[in-house]
Amino acid sequence: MKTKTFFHRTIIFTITTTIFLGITGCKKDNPIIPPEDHIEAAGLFILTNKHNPPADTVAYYFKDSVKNGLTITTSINDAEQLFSLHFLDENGKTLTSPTDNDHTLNWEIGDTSFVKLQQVSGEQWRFHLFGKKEGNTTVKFFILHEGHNDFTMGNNTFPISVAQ
Amino acid sequence: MLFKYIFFIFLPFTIFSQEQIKGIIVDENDKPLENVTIKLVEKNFYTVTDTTGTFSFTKIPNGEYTLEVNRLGFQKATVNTKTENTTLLIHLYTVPIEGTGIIVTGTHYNSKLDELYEHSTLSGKKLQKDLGQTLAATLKNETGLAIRSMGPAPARPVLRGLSGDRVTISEDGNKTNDLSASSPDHAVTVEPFTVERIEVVRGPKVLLQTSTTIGGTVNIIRNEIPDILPARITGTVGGSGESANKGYLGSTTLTLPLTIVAPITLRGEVSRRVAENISTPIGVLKNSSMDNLNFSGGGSYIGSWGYAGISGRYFGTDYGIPGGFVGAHPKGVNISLFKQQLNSKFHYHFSDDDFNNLEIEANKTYYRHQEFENSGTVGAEFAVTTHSFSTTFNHNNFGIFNGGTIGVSLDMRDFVVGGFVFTPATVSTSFATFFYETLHWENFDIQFALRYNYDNVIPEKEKPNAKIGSIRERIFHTFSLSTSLLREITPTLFVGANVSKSSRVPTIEELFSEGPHLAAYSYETGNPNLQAEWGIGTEIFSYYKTPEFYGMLTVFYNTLPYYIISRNSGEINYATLLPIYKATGIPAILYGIENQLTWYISSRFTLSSSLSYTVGKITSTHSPLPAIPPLKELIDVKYSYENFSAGISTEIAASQNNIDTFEESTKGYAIAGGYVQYVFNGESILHNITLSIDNIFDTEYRNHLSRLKSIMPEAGRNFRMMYRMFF
Repeated sequence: MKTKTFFHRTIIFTITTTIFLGITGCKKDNPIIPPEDHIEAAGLFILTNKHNPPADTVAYYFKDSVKNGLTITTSINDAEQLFSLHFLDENGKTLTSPTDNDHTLNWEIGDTSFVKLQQVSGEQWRFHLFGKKEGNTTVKFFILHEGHNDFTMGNNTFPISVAQ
Repeated sequence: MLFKYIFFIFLPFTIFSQEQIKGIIVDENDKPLENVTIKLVEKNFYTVTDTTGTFSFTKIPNGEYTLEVNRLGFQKATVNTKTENTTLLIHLYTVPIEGTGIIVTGTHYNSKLDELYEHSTLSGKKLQKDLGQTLAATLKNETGLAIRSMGPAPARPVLRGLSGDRVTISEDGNKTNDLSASSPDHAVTVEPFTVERIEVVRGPKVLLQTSTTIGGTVNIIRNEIPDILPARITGTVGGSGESANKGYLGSTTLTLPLTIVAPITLRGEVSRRVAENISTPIGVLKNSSMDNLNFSGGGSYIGSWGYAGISGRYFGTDYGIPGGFVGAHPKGVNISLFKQQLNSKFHYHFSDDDFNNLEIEANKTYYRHQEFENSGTVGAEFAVTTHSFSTTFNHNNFGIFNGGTIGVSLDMRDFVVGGFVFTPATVSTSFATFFYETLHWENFDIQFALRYNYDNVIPEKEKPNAKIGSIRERIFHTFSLSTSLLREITPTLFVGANVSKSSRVPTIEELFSEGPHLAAYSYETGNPNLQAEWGIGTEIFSYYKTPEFYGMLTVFYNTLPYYIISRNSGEINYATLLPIYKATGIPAILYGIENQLTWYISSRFTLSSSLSYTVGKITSTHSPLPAIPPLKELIDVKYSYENFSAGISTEIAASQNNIDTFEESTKGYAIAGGYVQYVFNGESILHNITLSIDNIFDTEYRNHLSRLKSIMPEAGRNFRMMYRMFF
């Protein structure tokens, strides 16, 4: 009799619990947006069309270091010169630049009174540098992806020289 | 109908009229004590005394029983008695020092080994005195424990140099199911203020919950699903405040018997904690604030056969991870997380003398975690849904065994990620079967436990060509066992040993992670080919206990042929410029010594000390393991007189120069603290006021296990005030 009562109680509890946990559940809030593909770049270089063809490399950064002896040169209100940015993988090979709208170019100019960067309309990785006044400053680039940096140059910068 | 109504009205009184064991609890001045908890150990029944200090247990078979008698501010008493028609008179004495009392949870047996393994039980006045803003801060003075931290909020206990999921944290025996074990920036989802007691369990009993015997279990006891039918409404109201972070907390708990309707007990609690950025001797640690909300409700139907109940819990916290050090975000990261948990439990007492009880538990947890960059955008997201089921059967005398447990458990975990996280979504299943036995033979106390685990980890998407290796389904079969033996040399001196085989399945992050972790400021790479961690633990211990003196000495030596750690590889991820941490399995040893001494100098003065020392080495290179806490000594002098107590303490830590290749060393330090505590009785109410001061001399010191030690020291001088009312 006691054994019967015990099993009855156990079964009742098991069924009740299953219903309780199954139906009540825990209220879930807004669903998680699954992670998307990220670009994993170890460096970048910048080409200019000034002496096109062939394009000149005016800046080169790879694995936390900037290649010395290169300077991005522009002049005041230079609308003809076009710069294009290309990324490198960890073996130094050129990566295909992202084409989706989730990855955007972000930059930081040391002194914005010397130069202004303007992307080519509809193109993520090409830009003009309009000099404002003669002198030198710096620039560094990031790839912004949904609010965070997929790529950063850290404390490294490229030198910019603005001529008349 | 009228008869039925009258029957239910008088049901509780009819039960209480059939007394089998009854008694009166009084203090040293023979004054009756109210609100004393009495546990009938063999049956796992509880009751509390009324205003006249009287208690009774009814409807129990004739025989010999053990009573455990507990009340805040008094030394615990254990009384052996028989069912007879006499009234017991039990004296409780004011606690000269707390922390030596032993409380066994969830099981009905007790042995000298329990006294040793559960040496770190925080309850009563000591718990009230040590309450910190996190579980780890509350436990920081316990022998063998250190704190891993990354700011005040995500602190987690480290036991003998073992961290992560080698230290299981559970509430009422249920794992917390948060992500605090997987990363240093993730908080433990436990509010310490509302707990009844905290136990650090080691030895064979650990295998009832986890296969990592060389670690341990920190068990938080709340009795969220009530297991007693109190004689009246009981509860607590409390608050605390501290100066170093301008933090404050308000809390209330309530236990409500509905005996007038049915033998049902309800329990609820709510607490809110707010703390600003913490002050250190050299300035404010920016972005170290926290804001917690915690509430729960539960109830159970209690009969002479046992009880069945359900409970629900919510814990939410928003906190900051400071920035500013190498690789970190300049202004830090903010984390918002919450956990919802549903629990159910069925506890059935057998009337048979050999069989004690059967427990069936089922739980469901939903954990959600978001990490925000300073701009407010979500950098990383985690959602974990866990279903857990367990059945345990506890017996009394069975063959040569004096008591034991046999059980099975099943955990199913659904892990989803979002944002800038490179660990794949994963479904894991863990099935375990275990048993634990105790026996007493001549002058020996013996405990033995065995556990088998089946673990299956399935990534949502298999990636055979991932950079870290083939991300694929993994299956693990692991066995763990542990045995302890204690020899009574004299009635006051005991010597014993423990040998155990420990296992641990690698975490999802250790297996599959392959990307930056925003708030941890690291680029974490897993290894999908990792095997299960395993090792052999050995321990020799002795303790000496007289009314005037308590001494404990433990020496341990753990050898782990395959120990999984995430080490700073010295490499940089050039996309994010974060240091790369790689999960690897290496041969390692961990050994050390622990010592506890308590000398009751007089009825008013007590001197106690505690020493912890751990050495960790990578066997293959003879180089130190990372994140090993330094030698630490605590010395405490206490004065007690009636309801008043006061103490001063000193914490001394040696410098830590035994460091891994890319780890920073830490200087030694000495800090002082003090407290006064007053416990007094009002009309059916017990009041506890504690005033404390930490780091009296505003000393600049750094925690070796803090990821922030390169930018800021630990908190400066801190005044704490805590008040709690028990009714």
